[in-house]
Amino acid sequence: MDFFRILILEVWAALLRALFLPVVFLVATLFRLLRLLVRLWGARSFYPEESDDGCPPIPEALVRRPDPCIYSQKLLLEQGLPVTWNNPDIWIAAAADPAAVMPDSYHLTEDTDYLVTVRVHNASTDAALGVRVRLRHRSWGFNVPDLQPVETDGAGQEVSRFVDVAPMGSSLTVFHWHTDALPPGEVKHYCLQASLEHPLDVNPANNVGQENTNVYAANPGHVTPGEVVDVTIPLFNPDRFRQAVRFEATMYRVDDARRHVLRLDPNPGYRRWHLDERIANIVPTLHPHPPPTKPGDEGPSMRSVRSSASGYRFSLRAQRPLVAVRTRYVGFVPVRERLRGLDVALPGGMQVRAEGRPLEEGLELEGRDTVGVRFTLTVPVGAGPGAVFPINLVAKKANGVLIGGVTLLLRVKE
Amino acid sequence: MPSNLQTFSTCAGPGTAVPHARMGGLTGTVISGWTTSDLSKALTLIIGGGLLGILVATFGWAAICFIGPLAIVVAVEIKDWYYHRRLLCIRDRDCAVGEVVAEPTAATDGDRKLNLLLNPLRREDVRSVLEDHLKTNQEMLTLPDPQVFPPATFPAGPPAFDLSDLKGYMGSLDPGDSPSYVHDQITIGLVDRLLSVPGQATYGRFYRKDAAHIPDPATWDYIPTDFAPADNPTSDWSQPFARSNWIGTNAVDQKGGQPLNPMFRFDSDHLVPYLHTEIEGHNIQIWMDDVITAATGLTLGCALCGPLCGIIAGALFWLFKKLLDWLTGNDGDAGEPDVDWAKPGEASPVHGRSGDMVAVYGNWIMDTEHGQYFEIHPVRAYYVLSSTASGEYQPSEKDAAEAQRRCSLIREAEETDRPPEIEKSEAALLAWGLATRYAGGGHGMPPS
Repeated sequence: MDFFRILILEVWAALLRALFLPVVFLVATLFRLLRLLVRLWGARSFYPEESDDGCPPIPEALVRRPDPCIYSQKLLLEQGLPVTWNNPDIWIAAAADPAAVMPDSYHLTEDTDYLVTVRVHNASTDAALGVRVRLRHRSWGFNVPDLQPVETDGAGQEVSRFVDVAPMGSSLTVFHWHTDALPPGEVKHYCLQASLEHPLDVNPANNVGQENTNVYAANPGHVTPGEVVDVTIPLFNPDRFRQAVRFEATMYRVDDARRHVLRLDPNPGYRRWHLDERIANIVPTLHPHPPPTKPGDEGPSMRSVRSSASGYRFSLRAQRPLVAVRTRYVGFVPVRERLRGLDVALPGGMQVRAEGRPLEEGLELEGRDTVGVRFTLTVPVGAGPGAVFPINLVAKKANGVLIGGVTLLLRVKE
Repeated sequence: MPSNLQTFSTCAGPGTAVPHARMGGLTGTVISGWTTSDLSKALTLIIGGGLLGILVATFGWAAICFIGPLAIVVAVEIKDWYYHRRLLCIRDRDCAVGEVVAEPTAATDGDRKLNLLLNPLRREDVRSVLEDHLKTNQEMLTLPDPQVFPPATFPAGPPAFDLSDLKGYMGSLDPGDSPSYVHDQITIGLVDRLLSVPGQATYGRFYRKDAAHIPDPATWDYIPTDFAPADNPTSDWSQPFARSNWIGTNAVDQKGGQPLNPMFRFDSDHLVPYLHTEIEGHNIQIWMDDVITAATGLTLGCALCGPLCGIIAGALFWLFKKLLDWLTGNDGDAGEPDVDWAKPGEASPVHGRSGDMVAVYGNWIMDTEHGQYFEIHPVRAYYVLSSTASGEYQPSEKDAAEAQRRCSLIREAEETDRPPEIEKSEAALLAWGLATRYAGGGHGMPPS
């Protein structure tokens, strides 16, 4: 019975086609000729160079494009936003007590096993599968170049992790890190750098995040009100020529409790058709059509009438004009404006100087040279017990281009 | 809207999903008559020729007008069978992760074929195991046993045992158009060895029938038997003389006396067993619509002004339809058409490249045609995990639980609507870089 219904519908569609075909063909051909005439009118050559791809791409409706990301200081600084090198996406716990996450990464002990957790976000509405996560460290400083893997295998090779992240979600991955043994009384600074890799990453600019750590031969490493903290931070000039470097200091930390609403932004993709092609597409057709597995999984743009025969759909069009829909979430402008308007100035009573001079005076550095820059930070006299001062120091070239940055987390003894 | 993907085929249950020889109706009767035996072929010729003769004798050359309705019925039957009664449903949605064996190729029906060597198998490991398997069975492969090397297929007896040209040797075991018995036995043994290694059977369900994944008894019974214990004294495929003389009935073809029917395919160029996946096109639909269009013109013309009129109308209708298809590029191919985005931006095309590590999501089916193999068809989502260039990917599906977790994530991502609004923490937004870019094109349009 169903077959006869389909047969009747097929004949009906064919009759409609028969009725439409001559008219549609004539109109479409007329417009095609007009288009050809317009093209030839301004053409310098009748034989444009053409290329033919032997292996056509995977249809865009099938392709999934993720955006794995992590708190990336460089990208945020480029947008004029305050940043911290106390990365909210990297945290540390002692391997002996994995549940006790360290409140910060500035008071680690030498010759100890730690678990470093890296949080990988995905800013895409598609899942991110097989994101490679690398965690390396380098000596603390402004853009010091030597990167070493945090975790190695028995052969001394770098250990990477691979994670999957849900659309608009995040995933955690853990690395094992054994801190170096230090002579008594010595402090060693490290900058942990997490980097993400994915072959179809739609935005590779948000893939490198850094976290500053301090490893002490003897804990704690806290400060007292009025104390002048003396820190020497290596500064590397990545260029081959001598240049001036200036410094900026801010007090900023990420407000993880604040939440924001974003809205979906669809981007439909239609066949690249001229008017004549659109007209030529008016060919009544009974399309084989799988019944939806859940209500409404067909786009409403189809403007088609579902036939009573299951598995088929009658449409006046031979092909769907809508090919694919790409999506993202938007609504960042107010967030960006709020962050740009934040007061990140140092608190009253806190002074930061470089080589004994005000920060804005900076210094000059030979090409490819590394120097230790001596910073002094005066803790406010009135700082209460347990107060935390996340001081972010940024080194920039004279033209404003970022060289690097560090965060000094000063915690007042309780 | 989880997906905007246009697909064409649906799968069917056991008994409904049939090969073309069993499609039934007028077309199926003719095909069945032609393919069953020489006698039935002769009978089909005699009956068909007789009917045609009676029509011509009665109506003269106006008998051509009867072709119109007949062609419509045949085209409708073929279209219906091809898109709704050809593929056997096994699992509505499933995932497979593996390495693209070769660049996708276009098929006659407009589908784009994509073959995967499933994780965690690697080409070099498979090659090594294949060499071991052949060496273990050297005696079987050099003995002129007519069961292993039937003279009809191997008139010169067993081919020279030469593993220095492994590809050439495997080719020599399969000289005919259809897979040879010995070639199937060797590849079944190879797959058995591969899946016997702990951790390597993560996606074994796509290589071999697995009752844990095919719980429906009717479906299980309908799928051909693809594996049986070896007939050697140890019943072990890793031991010499690894072959099975199992003979049974193939429920799909309804033919008895059939040997084991592997559910995987074997790539003779790259020497790996693979899962075949297909991105759907709709060429057959176009062809059948062409036939229906021309036949309708023929019938109409005949009814209105006679046979000559019918022939001219049929030809004109067909010509118009083809010209319109040409004007709109309606070629039925699954390749990507040129797309204009409402909001233009960067979206470099993605090609399936040999060596890419990918995950595909779609319907797990068995094609009742082409030797009855498992497939993912149609592919509904394509994830690239590692490109040939970066090549750093380490498979995480070392165990079934990990593969299950990944597939759950894919299913959730594919089948869940993206809400019109979401709330996220400031830390997450900063990690995104306070910006997002458009994802792939697999989303549906939200209600306006």
